[in-house]
Amino acid sequence: MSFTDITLKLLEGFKVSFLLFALTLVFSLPLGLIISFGSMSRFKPLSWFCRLVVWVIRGTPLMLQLFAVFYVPGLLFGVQLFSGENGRFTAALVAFVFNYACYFSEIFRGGIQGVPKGQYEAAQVLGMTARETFFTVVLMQVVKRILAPVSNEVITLVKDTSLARTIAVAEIFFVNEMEFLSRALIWPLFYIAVFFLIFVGALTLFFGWCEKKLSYYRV
Amino acid sequence: MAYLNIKNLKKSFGSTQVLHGIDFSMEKGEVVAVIGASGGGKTTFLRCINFLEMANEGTIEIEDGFKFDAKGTYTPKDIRSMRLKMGLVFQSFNLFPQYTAWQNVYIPLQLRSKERLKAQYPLFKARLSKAYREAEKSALAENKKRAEDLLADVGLSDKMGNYPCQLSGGQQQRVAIARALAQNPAVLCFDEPTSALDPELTGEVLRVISELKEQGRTMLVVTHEMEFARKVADRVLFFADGVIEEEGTPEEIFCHPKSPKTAAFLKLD
Repeated sequence: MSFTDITLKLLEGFKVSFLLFALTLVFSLPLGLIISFGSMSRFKPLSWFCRLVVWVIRGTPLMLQLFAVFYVPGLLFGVQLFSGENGRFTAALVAFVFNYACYFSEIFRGGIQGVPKGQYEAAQVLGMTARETFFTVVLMQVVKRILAPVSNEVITLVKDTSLARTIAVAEIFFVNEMEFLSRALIWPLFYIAVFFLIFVGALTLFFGWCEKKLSYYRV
Repeated sequence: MAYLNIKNLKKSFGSTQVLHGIDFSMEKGEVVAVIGASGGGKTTFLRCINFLEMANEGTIEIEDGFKFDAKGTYTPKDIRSMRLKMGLVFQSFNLFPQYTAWQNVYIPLQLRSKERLKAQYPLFKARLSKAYREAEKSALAENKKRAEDLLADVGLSDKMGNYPCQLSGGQQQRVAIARALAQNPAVLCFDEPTSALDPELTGEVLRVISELKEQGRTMLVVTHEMEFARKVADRVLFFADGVIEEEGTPEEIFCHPKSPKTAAFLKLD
């Protein structure tokens, strides 16, 4: 098998990894914001519930959560929630979205609570509503504060997608095992690193650019 | 009735009572300096009349403005409209760091104009009309001009495009003053406006406040600058332990204090 064939085959697997990565971000960032609002809520039961969920999700391995999402509905209730062609992918996506939303929610919470009280008070004496205060005053300061920790999480997510292999999602490691490892071809396993390095390199450049774009003000 | 009337204002935090019934009034165009040791309740007093803290008891009244009674219930909207009658300049400026000097003044103005416009055109359909768009456009131009004028008044015409981090403390505080003036408050309050500044920068801020006095602004200034209080204020209040221990003209307070507490404080200073 030629180098090009192997590259193309692995690229097919990486496409699935990428899709899992991108969709996880699309859903977990807004969900994280909702959870962070929940855990900051003055309505105590809601805040306790959100903090409990965050504790459970952050306190258990992502791999276990993958198994739980994929197998538990069938084992306990006898329903095949994730069947069909994309069933495994969907199950992995659900687990990833919840897991990352919890991590993001804590980053958001820290970012929102880190905005000095004086900013809220200045907005208040200028007659702003709570909504105006959040969107015109607080939000951009939060974005700047959380950029570094969020970029960290995002980069971790790229590599965490490989955990989806445990429920046989056809991501890059799974493809490698089926196609090459099974034929005792070892080197493509390590060649996979190149795919991740290039992608993470691009993300690093992107976040560096964002940081530069936001460097015109200090918070 | 006086322009600003405060009766029996009380405020506690938990079991600590900070304001023990403040009675105070001021006339339009008057400048009152508030002096006193830290922990005497000066800042809490300002925060209560700007509704950043809610007084537990008492009334705050502005002629032709509003009447607040601590016993009443107020919606967030009521409180916002009362806040707009008062202005507050903070010790730590609290400019919005992501906006330029000009945007700091313009954005809050623009938000309030939009709210007023929307109240005039409550229906979504009406907001598609030409009249609404025209009104929106003229409000925008007006606010733009007003923000520019206000910054020019505090001597910052050439710094309008600068971000707060590019300005000195004195310049930031002057932007904050312009921003507070934008809403045209009935009473403009200052909470130790020069305490966070290097000594060489306090002059420019105090000069701006003096100029505002000449324009007839009603101002209430909490300050540690005794020289400034003596020169600019029409009246001085000395706060101690949550009450107005003594009040009078600068001459009376600084040269012939009646209360031993006042005398002791001024000597310490």
